[in-house]
Amino acid sequence: MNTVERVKYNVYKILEADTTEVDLIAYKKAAITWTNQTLFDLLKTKIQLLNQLGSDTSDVVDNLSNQMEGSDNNDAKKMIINKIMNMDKTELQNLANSLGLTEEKIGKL
Amino acid sequence: MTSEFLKKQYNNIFSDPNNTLHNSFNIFTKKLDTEKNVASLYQRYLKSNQVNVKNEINKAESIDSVNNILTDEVKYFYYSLLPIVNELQNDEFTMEEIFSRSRDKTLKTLMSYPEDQFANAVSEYVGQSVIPQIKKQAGLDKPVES
Repeated sequence: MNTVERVKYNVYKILEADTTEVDLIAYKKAAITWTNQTLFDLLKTKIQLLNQLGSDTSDVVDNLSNQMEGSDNNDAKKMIINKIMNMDKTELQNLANSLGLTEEKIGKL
Repeated sequence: MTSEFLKKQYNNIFSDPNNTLHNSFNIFTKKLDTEKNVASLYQRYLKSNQVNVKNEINKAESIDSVNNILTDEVKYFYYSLLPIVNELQNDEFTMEEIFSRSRDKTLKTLMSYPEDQFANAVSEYVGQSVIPQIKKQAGLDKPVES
């Protein structure tokens, strides 16, 4: 740590010593909100869908890709999965309805 | 599946890690080597990681401690996601695609770094981007009146 960084750090520690319990609680709350909104929310929907397709609905995707004449099964499957990954909530809900996937089984989209 | 880089550099990247986050990440990386359904494993890790971070932040006794947990968490977040992205090889599950809808463009850039450059950039990201955002959200960004 060089001199400038050390001074900054010391100033920071002095300022931090002035923080009250109320400030700390507010900071913790904002930090938790930040982790949820900036990190976890982005990923949860994507990984949930990927996981769903990888297990419960793989038969459905297999059947769909088998029906696509002239396409390699894996390419077709990948194309369908990519298409689904790009759907918004309404499109996903429509797809879930058409596949007979109820809210009890997959949760609310 | 855990990269050689992380195995070699772990103690440098996480010099004094939060115990709970460290233990949870260790279990996750051990399972990665044998788990067939990595998407499912990652989904479970993500859920437990979210709960752990919340609990650890709530237990922190100072803003400095909260910031250390946040720095650790951004690192664990990246180093747990990277092997999953590499393993799945899905066009819609690349780092770029995942963070394309993020409002935080600095995070998108950070998460696209190769792992040997990521560790050095994290502290700067947390210090210059994350902490100011959180202070503003908490109403602590106003100058102190004398």
